[in-house]
Amino acid sequence: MWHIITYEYRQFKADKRFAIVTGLIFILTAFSLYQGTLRTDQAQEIRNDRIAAQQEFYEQKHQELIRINQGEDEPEQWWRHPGHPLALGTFRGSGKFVFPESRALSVIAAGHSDILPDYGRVRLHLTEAVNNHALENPVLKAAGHFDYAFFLVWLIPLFVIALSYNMISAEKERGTYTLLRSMPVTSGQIIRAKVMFRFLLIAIVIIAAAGASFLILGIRAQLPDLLMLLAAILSYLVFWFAVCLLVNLIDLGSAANALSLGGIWILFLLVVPAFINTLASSMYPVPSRAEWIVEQRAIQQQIEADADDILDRFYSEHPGEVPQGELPLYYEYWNTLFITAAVVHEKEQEALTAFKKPQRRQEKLIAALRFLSPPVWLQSRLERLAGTDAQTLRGLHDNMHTFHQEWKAFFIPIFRELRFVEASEFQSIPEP
Amino acid sequence: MNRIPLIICRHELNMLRRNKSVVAGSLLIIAILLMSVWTGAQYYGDLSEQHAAAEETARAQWEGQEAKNPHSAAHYGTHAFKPVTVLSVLDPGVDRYTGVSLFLEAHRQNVTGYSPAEDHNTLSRFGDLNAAFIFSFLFPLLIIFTGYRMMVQERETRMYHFMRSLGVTDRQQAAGKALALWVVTGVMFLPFILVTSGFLIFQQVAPTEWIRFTGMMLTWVLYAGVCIHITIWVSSRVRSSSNALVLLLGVWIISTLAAPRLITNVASAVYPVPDAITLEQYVQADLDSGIDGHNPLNQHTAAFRDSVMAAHNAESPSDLPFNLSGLMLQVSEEYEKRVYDRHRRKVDTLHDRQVRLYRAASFVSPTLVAQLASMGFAGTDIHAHRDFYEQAEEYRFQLMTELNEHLKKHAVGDDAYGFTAGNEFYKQTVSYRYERPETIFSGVPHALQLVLLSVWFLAGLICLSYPGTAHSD
Repeated sequence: MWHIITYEYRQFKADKRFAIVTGLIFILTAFSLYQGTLRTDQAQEIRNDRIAAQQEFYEQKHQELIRINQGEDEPEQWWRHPGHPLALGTFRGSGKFVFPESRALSVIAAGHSDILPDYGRVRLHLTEAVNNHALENPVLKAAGHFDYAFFLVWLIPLFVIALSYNMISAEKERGTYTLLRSMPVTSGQIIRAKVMFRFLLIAIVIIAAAGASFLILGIRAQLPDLLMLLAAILSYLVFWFAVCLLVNLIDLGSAANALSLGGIWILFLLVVPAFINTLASSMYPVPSRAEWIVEQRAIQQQIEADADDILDRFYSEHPGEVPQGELPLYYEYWNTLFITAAVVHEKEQEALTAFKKPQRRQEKLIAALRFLSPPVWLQSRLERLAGTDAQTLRGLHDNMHTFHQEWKAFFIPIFRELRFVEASEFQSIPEP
Repeated sequence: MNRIPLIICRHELNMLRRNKSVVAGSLLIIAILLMSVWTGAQYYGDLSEQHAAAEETARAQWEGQEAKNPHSAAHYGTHAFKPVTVLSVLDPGVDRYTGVSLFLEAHRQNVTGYSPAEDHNTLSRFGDLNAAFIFSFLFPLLIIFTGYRMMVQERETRMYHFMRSLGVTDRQQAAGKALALWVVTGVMFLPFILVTSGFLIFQQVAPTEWIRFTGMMLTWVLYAGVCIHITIWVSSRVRSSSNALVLLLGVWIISTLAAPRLITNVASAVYPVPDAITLEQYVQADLDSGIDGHNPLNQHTAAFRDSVMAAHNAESPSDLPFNLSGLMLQVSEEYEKRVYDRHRRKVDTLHDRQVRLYRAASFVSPTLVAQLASMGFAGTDIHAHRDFYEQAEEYRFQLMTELNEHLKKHAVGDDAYGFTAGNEFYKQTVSYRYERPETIFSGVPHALQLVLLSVWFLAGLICLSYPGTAHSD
């Protein structure tokens, strides 16, 4: 077996195909990961800017409040008071940004990061999701990114095919197969050695290219994530080598092998995913958001019309919250808004099930049919590792809602007590 | 007339008919193509119904709002919904990545929201079965798999010398084989054209939609022609069938998969588009140097108010024969519109430059230019989206002007304090209906795309006129 591997190695050394494939793997790995770092650096820069602006806002308010407490300053209007809970919790510039979980391997797959919101802003009266990419050219969005996931999922199988489609047929066509068989080896050993050699070679080149690119680009990731990435890549390689092995065993000649493998590549990467996609979308269609928009507005109108009833119900359930004494003019408006906003949220969540339910069913069906196409499996694994999969990014809304509860729990009691936030309380303002 | 290419064509067709893989592959693609029209038509039916219903409800919500100050109504706003075009069944273009609606309110120009891609499943990047996907990805593959051996196998089987001895030239062989591929492709186009025509007749579409459909077909036929000519030419210039296949698949991968993604990365880096919040900051900086209809403390607002009062010799706003807030809100709206328009045009310019780069890259990828041309005809390209946005924005400004004028005119004297407008007024306000442009070519880019594709077609044809002399044994 070792002799065959040595023989293969010599052949590969002389074959420019291998040099081209190795070169391409290095270039494309470095390029795609470099593009990934550009994308993630830009996202991180925006993230840092937002956090810095948010810190500056609260630091400025804190300093203003200290000056007021020391009698050095006097606010002109109530809404400009730096300790007012509305100024700190809901007016322009206030609130906190909530970001989805950031993963070190986010460089490997753009996933849904250019489609779904990047972060959210939480204020007392509303939570809003922000998409950094809202102004991006839809033509480019439709084309997709040249990311590392694209390289692995779409192009690596082609390199495997290019090096393996004629493992036996080329020997036969050159007339060297008989010579090879004259050695004390079985045909099973020959094919096993050839496959093993190619597998190790491509795996080493991919790992070396990725390792070098990670080092040069300064990409740091935790060991478990790296091991999972490695396991996913190796599993994918095993699948494609198994396909190549099967086609080589049937062996209809080099051109027919190449044709069959090309057809299998198209089947797994184009036809099956597109078919599953169409099947999932047709079986569980997600209605147009146009319906959601008018539904949302209908909820708001209904809540506005029922505001008195909602307030009565709230006060009967929370007798301690009934306002006492003389109230400032703004109080009623904002208090009603805060009480009704909770009801609006509840109703909106009910209405959103019309969208979430088919979405969940689609994902369930895709997960069930994922085994039909290993590329679909790898793509979803890579997106999950990168934290750019739809499920993780959609989780932002839940994070925003959780933080919104904390935000309200801090500011609304202060608002209802009709007092200002103390300078000493700034430390306790919730952080996402 | 030279009958040799026709004889070769007939011979090739006989061979292909006996090739089970080609027959199965062609039937499979025809089935997928027809299925895509069927599922697309269903989706279109549902979507257009949903949009029409939403449009109607949004108008009813606008008209049914409780009596309120017209400017409160302006903040309450309304929505414009992007209509679904019938040809999006065949080519959804960029529609999946653009929002379905635009929120129209006072003082601001918003970005279209809720793109279908946001609700789409994890497979969105793998593509879905629509005619444009099949024509741009699967058709070339079928052509390559059917034609990669056509020329080279004549040498491999030594038939080449025999043919030459009969006086058949390389050019005649190439023409005959290309003709055979044209027939196969034509047979695949035919059921699609028939079924889609039936669908369009059933939908009772306007004549322009037929012209658009013809344009789309022309685009994809030209593109198929490019693939046919390149396939035959490559097959005539290589030494072996496997080389022909590897080379042609390489060209296909570069053209359909790698080039679009590479250009995306390059275009985003060369012409970066600001993120939404940064643009908002630029806009705000410009807005701060103009009249703010809401903020009486703003120095520009104060200066404007004083100038109006002075012009009318009024000591207080109540002395004026009109409502000063209404006037200031309108002047502020006009200023805000100018600022937003200016920034939006800057973003549009960046988009145009990115698309220009994308189009320029068509010299390595005819797929890019075919896709742009197809979505242009389908009315699902970036220009169609921009047209929707601009019409909606014009409507927003008209509506805001009506509301401000009403306030200015009627909230005067004793009526000024607590002025409200009721349902009757909101029912009379201008309503929105998107009018699709009658012209199919909305400027140079569309025509240029077709020209570029024709250049590829002609280049392929010229290559085909000079087949395989390099390896004539």
